[in-house]
Amino acid sequence: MLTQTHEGRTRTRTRHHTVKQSSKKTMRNDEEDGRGGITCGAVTVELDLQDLPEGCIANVISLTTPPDACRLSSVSRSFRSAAESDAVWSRFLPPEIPTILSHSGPHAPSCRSKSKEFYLALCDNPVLIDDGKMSFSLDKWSGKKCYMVSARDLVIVWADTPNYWKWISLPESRFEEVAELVGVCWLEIRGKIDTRLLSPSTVYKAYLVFKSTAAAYGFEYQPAEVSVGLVGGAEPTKKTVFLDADRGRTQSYQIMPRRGPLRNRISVQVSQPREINDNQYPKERADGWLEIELGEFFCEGGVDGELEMTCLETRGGQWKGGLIVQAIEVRPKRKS
Amino acid sequence: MSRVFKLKSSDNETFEVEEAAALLSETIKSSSSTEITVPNVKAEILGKVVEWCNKHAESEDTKDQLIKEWDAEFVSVDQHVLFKLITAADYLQIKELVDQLTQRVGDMIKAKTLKTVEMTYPTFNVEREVQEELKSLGF
Repeated sequence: MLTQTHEGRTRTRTRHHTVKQSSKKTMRNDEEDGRGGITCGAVTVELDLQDLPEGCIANVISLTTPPDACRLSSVSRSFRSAAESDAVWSRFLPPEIPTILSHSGPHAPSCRSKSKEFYLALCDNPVLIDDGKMSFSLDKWSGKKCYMVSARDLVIVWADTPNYWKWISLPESRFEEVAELVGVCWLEIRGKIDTRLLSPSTVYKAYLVFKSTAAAYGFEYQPAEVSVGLVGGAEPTKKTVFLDADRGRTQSYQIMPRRGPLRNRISVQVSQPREINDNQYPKERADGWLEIELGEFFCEGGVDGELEMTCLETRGGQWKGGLIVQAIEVRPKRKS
Repeated sequence: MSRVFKLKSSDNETFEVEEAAALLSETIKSSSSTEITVPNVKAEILGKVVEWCNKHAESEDTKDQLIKEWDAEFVSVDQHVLFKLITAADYLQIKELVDQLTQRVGDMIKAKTLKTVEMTYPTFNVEREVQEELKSLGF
């Protein structure tokens, strides 16, 4: 039950502690403690927050998250100025931003604009770095660093042989070139990223970003083997995924092809039904591409190393083709 | 011989504080007198601030696990007490205490659901407005 105790009150923000009326606290049907405060949750957080000394409010907000700051800004006019301030948003940016942007192309957003705009620009408009071979952006929810390692920067076995892979340009790719799979029987894609580039104390996930063309074949039955792990570290756990967007999803059991001399010739042998894990199938991205999760990695920070992310299909021996690989993306795991 | 400072609350209660604890406050440090009145901070709150200062003056190592646990308990108070503490600590310019208290408030905001924020705003459409705003920013 909401009582309009705020109406008609003018708030002056001074450094002196104003005497609080106990009626102000009766906002909800919750318990009141004897001293005139409310003991449940933080219903009156926003009321009292306004009484804090100037600068403290911005400090508090900078210790929350970007979505929290946006929420506070749009909920209350009193917080808007603090929640929009550079004091808050500059603290959501990783400290290395100037260095990263100094190695980027001419189209990077300007450091001089207001911090919040700058922050959002870095989230929404990835910046090409490393001579156009990688892209950098921020994860909007946390302000942590995200990267895409373009196909040209990946190790794709047989990619130099035009019979197997073609390098083409697509307008919907952020990179100049993407790799189109004509056909291989040995699919091996490996990407590496220096862990020093990543934000510390962060769980990262890696994804293969690709498209499936209408002519895609060979992926319906045979899953790929993917993994993410430190180079020189413990053997990473491998998992299986399907690179086929449609067929894999509709199967509730795996059909095992028997390998014949001609590709696409299969005889069917139905195996046991198995449970479908949603992460085993490609998902659609907002930019129109598909992605499949390769694995997870906890970046501690302060430790030098190289993260290797792989996607292999080398066991089935069957021919496959019709995919377009744009990049491997590395981004923080989103807390649900 | 260390000096003893006298801190007076707005309701005229005096707290005697040893030099080491008192000098954690920049305001006291830069004061010419050893008697300081803290305006608009009642004894209950000032007493807690003094308690914090005493605790932190006596232990050298602030990274000590025990101190951390003590600090965590210290800031686990009702929010109206929390805000009064921030105001007092800010006036007395005790940076570490202010940092701990604001961290606590930030954590409380992060843990809150939107409903609680909405309750203080005098329109009923705010939830929808906020969601629209968040959506337009891409959250």
